[in-house]
Amino acid sequence: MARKSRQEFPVIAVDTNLLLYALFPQGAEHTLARTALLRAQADERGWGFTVANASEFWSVATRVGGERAPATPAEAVAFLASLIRAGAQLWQGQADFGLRLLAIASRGEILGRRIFDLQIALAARDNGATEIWTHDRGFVAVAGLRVFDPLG
Amino acid sequence: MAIIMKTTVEIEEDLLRAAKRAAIDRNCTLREMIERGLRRELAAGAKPPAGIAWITASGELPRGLDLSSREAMWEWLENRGKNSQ
Repeated sequence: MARKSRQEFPVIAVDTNLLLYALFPQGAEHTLARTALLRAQADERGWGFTVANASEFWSVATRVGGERAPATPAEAVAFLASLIRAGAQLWQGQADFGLRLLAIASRGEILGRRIFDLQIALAARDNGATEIWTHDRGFVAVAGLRVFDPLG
Repeated sequence: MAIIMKTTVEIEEDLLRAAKRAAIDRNCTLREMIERGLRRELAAGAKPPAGIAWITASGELPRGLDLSSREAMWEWLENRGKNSQ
């Protein structure tokens, strides 16, 4: 029997910016992000996002800063719940996640807020993701996780 | 906390070797690889997921928020917090 390559078992991870673009109706990115999420949802390979993505999404979507929050908590949770009902998985890091995260960050000399890229990438890979879809222009991935910009 | 059980299974040699190589590539254990595969297989047998029921925010993305850079996004979150205090 032919040996299967790991590319036959990929899972798609979607990054926070795609979730936010899809929630808010402004800008050209909105339609493109929704199209990307529909593509991910229709893909037989499976898809999901990490708890860290959900937390970031929440931080931005419900942020209050002198004016009303861009989205209500009810809207934010309904949006994420809709994706999960549509088959998106919500991932956490697996065993020894924190120690592995810090070790990779140290080896890779990851600086500042880019640790959050690494946190997301590692948790996604822990759950079988081999691709992350993001519109981030400088996403720091980990070995075995391909970065793809569906809006690019 | 989950109870861990030992079991013995026979796996095709090529498949096992490929799984071990993939585990090394992904910096995880063979056990984690097997668990993920089982979870995915079990999920695949569940009823098909619904379509995405789109929820649209009533508000707008704040001006000055750059989502194409996580660094910029976090900077916005932190500065916005200072401005609102």
